[in-house]
Parts: sequence; C-alpha cells; structure tokens
Amino acid sequence: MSFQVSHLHKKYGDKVVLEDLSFSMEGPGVYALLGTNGAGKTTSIRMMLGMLAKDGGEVLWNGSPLTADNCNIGYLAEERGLYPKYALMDQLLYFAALRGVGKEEAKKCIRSLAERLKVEEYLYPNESAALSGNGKRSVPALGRKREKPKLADQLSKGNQQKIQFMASLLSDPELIILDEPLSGLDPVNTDLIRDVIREEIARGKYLIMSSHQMPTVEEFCTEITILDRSKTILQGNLNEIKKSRGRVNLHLKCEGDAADCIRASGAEILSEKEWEYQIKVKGEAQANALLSSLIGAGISVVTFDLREPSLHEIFVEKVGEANDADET
Amino acid sequence: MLTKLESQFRGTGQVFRFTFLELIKSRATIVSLLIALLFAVGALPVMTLISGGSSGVIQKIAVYLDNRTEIELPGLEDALREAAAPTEITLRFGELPEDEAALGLILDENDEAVTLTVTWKNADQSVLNSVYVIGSAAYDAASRARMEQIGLGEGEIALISEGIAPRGISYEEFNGSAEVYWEFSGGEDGYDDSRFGLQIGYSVVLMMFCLYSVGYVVRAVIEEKQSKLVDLLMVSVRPAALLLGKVLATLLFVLIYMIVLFGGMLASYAVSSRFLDLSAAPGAVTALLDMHPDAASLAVILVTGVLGCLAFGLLGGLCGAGCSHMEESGNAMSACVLLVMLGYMTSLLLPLADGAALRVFCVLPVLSMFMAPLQFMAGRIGFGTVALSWVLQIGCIFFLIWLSAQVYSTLIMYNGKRLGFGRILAMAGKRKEERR
Repeated sequence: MSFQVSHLHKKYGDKVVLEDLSFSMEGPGVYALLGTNGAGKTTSIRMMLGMLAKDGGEVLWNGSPLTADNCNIGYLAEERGLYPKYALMDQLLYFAALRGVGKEEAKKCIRSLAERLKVEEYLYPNESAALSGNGKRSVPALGRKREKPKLADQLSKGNQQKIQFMASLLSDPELIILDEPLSGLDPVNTDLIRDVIREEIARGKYLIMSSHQMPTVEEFCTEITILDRSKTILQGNLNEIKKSRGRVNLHLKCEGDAADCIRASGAEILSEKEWEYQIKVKGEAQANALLSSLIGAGISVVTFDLREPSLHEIFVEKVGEANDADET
Repeated sequence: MLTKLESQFRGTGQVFRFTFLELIKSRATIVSLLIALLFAVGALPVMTLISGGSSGVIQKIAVYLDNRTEIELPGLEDALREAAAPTEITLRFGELPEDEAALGLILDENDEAVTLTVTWKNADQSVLNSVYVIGSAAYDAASRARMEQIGLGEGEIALISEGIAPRGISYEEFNGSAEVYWEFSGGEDGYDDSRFGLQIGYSVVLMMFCLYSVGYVVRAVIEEKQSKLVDLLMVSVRPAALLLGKVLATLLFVLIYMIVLFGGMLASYAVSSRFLDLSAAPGAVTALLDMHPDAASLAVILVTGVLGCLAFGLLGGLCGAGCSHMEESGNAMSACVLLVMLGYMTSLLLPLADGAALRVFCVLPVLSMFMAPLQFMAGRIGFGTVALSWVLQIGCIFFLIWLSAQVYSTLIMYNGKRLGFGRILAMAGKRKEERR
C-alpha cells in the first residue's frame, strides 16, 4: 500500500493558503506534517480527505484517488467536538455505524479502547458503580438506582479528547490522520494516548500526524514536512535532516566555572545555569578542543553530551530562515 | 452514475436513525410534546366554552311558536330537534314569556308573502348560537307545510325542493372541450363557510408542520456545526447525506408529533361532542376534525404535505449551515417563515379564484402545498393538476439537493458572519463555474 500527495494547491481568492505540497509514504510508518500556526496543515489535511475542494494536485491511496470508499480512514480533527447533550456511547456507536462497523464489533472495540484510555467510568457508569472492593464487576443490587448515561458536556476537556481519539480508531483504520492529538492533555493522559499510538504503529498502520509537540514527533515520526505560510520549507527523513546538520549541540556540566574556557574555544553559550551550559559548537573538532582545554584547566566535567540539533531547533531555525528570506 | 449517486448518499440511513432516536429520546422534546398534547386535548372544549357553548349537561332550549297563519306545522318539533341535536328542544306555543330565556318563532302572513321571524328574549350566547340552525329548520318545515296545504304531493314537493342547479362556466367548458372548474349545485354557493373553515384549519396545521420541521432542522444543523463534529463526520459521510438524513429524521419526527396532536384533538372532539354543543366552537377546528377525506384525498394531502415539508427542511438546513451560532437560528429561519406565510395567506385568499388562475396557483411550489389538496377534495382541480404540482415540488427538492451537494460542505466548515440564502446561491454558482 502507498499514500501519495502530489502538488496539492489551494487558494482563497487571491490568497494562496497551500502551495505545491507533495510527499509520499511507501510503507507503514508515521509522517509528520509540521508548521507554524496558519501555515496550511489543517487545510492540507482537509484537502487530502476531500472535505475541501483542491485547486490543484491529487491524493492517491494505492494509486487511486483517496476516498472513504477505497480506504478505511481514521481522523482526529484539530477542531474537536462531541454532541454535548447526547450519551457518549450512542455517539460512539453512531460514528462506528457511519464507518460501516457493526454494532457488536463496535461495542467490542469501544470496550477495548475504553480500557486502554481509562474512560470506562464514563462509558459504563453502571459497571463502574457496581465494581466491588476487589475490582471485580458485580451484578448491581436490586433497587439500586441506575446511573444515567454520561453526556459529553459532563466530561472534562481531556476526557472528551480521549473519547474523540477513540472515535477516530473505531473502524480499525488503515490510514490514521491525527491533527494535534496531544494538545491540551495532562502528562498522564498524554502517555495513555502515546501508548495507543505506539500500538497502532506496531500494527503496521499509516499515520499522518500534525503536532506542535516536537518531542512526540521525534519519538514517532520518520519523515517530516515543515510548512511555513503555505510553503514547504523543509522535507525529508528526520534522521538524515539531523545528520546533515552535524553534532553541534553540546550539553556541558562542570564542577566549576567554565565560561571563560568555552568563550576562548570560540563556541557560543546559549544558556547557563550553575555551571551547566547549553553550547552551540561548529563541529566535533571544536567540541574536542573545548574538552581538552577544560581538562587542561583542571575543571571537572560531569556531563559532556554532544548531539545533533533537536527537531525543535531545526524547526525554529528553518522558520527563521524563511522569514528572513521573505523580508529581504 | 448509480454508484456515484449511491456514494453521495451512503450513510443517510445512519444519520436518519441517529437523529431520529436522539430527537425522541430528548427530555425537552418529550416535555414539549406532552404540553402540546395537553393544549390539543383541552383546546376544543375550552374554546367551545369561551365561545359560549354549553357545558356539562346537554343544553335545553325552549322555542315558542306564535303561528298567526292558517298553516299547520305538525312536523316542526321533530324537525327542530333533529336539526339542533344534541341540544334538546322543547316546543311551546304562544308569545315569548317575559322571564324566560327562549327563542321565538313568529309565522305571519300578509297579502304578499308568508314571513317567518326568529326572535329571542333573555338569551345567553348558547341560545343565540342556535338561532341560525333553528330558523333554517323552521323555514324548511313551514315551506313544506305550506306546499302540503295547497295540495302538492310528495313527488311535487321533492321536485320543487331540489330546485334548479345553476352554474356559471365558459362556453368551452359547456361544450365539454375544457374542464369544469366550478359548479353550483342545489342552490349552494360552492365555497361555503365550512369549506373556508376547513381551508384555514388545514393551512394552520400545514404551517405548523413546516415551521416545526424548519425549526428542528435549523437547530440540528447549527448544533452539529457548533459542536465541531463536522470534520469527523465528513470523513465517513458526504455532506448531502448528512443533511438529507437529518431532514428526513426531522420530518418523520414532526409527522409523528403532528399525528399525536391531531389524534389528541380528534379524541377530544369525539368526547366533547357528547357533552358539549360544539356549534359554538371555531369553525376551522370543527371543519378540520370533521373532514372525513376519502383515500385518494388523504393520499394527496399526505404526499403534497410531505414533499413541501421536505423542500422546506432542505432549505432550512442550507440556511442553518450558513450560521455559526445558535443565536442566528431565528434569522436563518426567516426566509422559510416568509415563504410559509406566503403560502398560508395565499391559501386563504386565492381559493376564490377561478379557472386557469386557480390551476396555476395550485401547481406553483409553496402555494401548491397549501392549496392543491383541498381544491382537489372539493373537485375544483383534477388529479392532473395535483400531479403537475408534485413534479414541480420534486424539481425543487432535487434543486435543493444539488445545491446542498455544491455548497453544504463549505458552509458547515464556515465560521463567520451569517450567510443568507442569496449568498449561498451565489456560492453555488461560483463553484459550478470553477468546476467548468
């Protein structure tokens, strides 16, 4: 199977909102679509899914135009919502039915996802109320008042987001598009969703992810595209992009003041806190020279970590370059 | 082509089922239905009582006959009782007493004619309501007695009573080369009070049906838009199916709603007529409840009403999709409300039209749903005219579905100032040009 986006183009009136976006996935994996706010990520996703008319380009799944008829798609939209006054279970069964999933199959899938995302108490309020002390389910006692089904507006934003995430996976999709899947979640819920994403990757799914959380993208994604103001400013394999920039980030921690040695070596101190430095070096030779000078000066080195630039740094650098180019 | 069409509407059934089930499960809906049912059941007896109808026990009216002629009226008491039922009539003779609430019939004769005067003393509203019925029955009985007095037999009386049926038609109609649109018979004017009452009653019910449908569809569309679910739904279902499923579910729900209300009114009518004198009730209500349409007329009413409401539902859905907030729902409905009011007002004013003009009004979309069914029932238009009105209504529905397919996806993702129907039409035109 393959997923291919070719020369996608969109404009509103005279304003171009997406210019010639192309990328492809030849096998399962995670592709990151990154960009500044308003760069055109959501527009391009909506065009890929056929919600917005394309002014140019095509989106292919196995060589045919991508539609809900020829590809089982799961989508977590950036603009998320649920019907506020309808029962959660009814909504999930409805979303599953729209994707052609039978009721029993959908119920099984909902149960499994609810357990993994820890939202059973909202979807099965009576079972949660009937949980005995040892954690086993028991038959509700006669005369006990049944809990009413939970409505979406009774849930916190984070829990609503988990329900929406569940909705995107109900049909066991081949192609999963996640637009900002972790935004607004606390660390515990972030980990729960990350675990499910990891499982889906392991099951050989095609994932397209848009996120501003660079560590998450670095963890999951192999290929990236960075958009800025409708244009593609960087594209390729993440490891290769990092390698091409060399190991220029040095994390140094000493047991004494090393600032003079660092400046003398020609390296640039980015931040400094209690003899712990983030340093930008020109390459490995300069870093080695710095280490020699520190040892020569009798400064004990606790940490000396020379690494490639992070995705965050690459992103900021590329967007900055693009802005500078536009200004000139 | 068929596959493409199937793909466009795939998921309509699921949208329909979900929307319908959520509508009937909603507590607000159940409460509003119960309140409306209460009004429907209570409206007829309350309106009857307010209008001066008798309550509780059967009304009794004393009628005093002051016969100053030689004409004998042996069958008068039976004729009055039959005409005024369930009101009980007691016939007495002589002048109206001073201290009694009663009706008086004065039969007098001079050189030129026999006169029948109906008069009353101390009468309350319920007695006054019976003046017309009792006067008419007395007139018929006196006329018959007078004819018997001059020696006419049963056959001759029947011949004179049936009278001559006048009719005014064009020469082409007379020749049989054109359909007869209007016919007087038995001395009736053909468009009497009861038929006008029926037209009002039918138009009010249809107006409620349309406005309820439009209101529910507009709210459902804006609610979906506001809940930010559109992106998720549109991965699975096409915009046209999303709208059509919602409109069909709303129509079924409103139809059930109206059936429950109408059933409540009918039950109330059946029970009330045993205990109350419903002659004082508003004519539109009693005419509607006493309609007794045949199967063909019922089918015409149902098909025309459902087609009209489907068109209004789709129009409401499109207007609703142009809004971004629930506060704009009133404005979104305004175009539909204006059209419904146009149909309603026309249905009350234009049935008096005749010939080709009436036929044109009966086929025009919007007007046809208010006018065609009752004109068909009255025999003033043929089935061909009704069928033509359906064709035009179906054409409107297809146009609205096409319009939805063009712009609904853009509209439901649109956030901003409300887009009126004119701008929606312009948007569709632009999309069509872009595709070329």
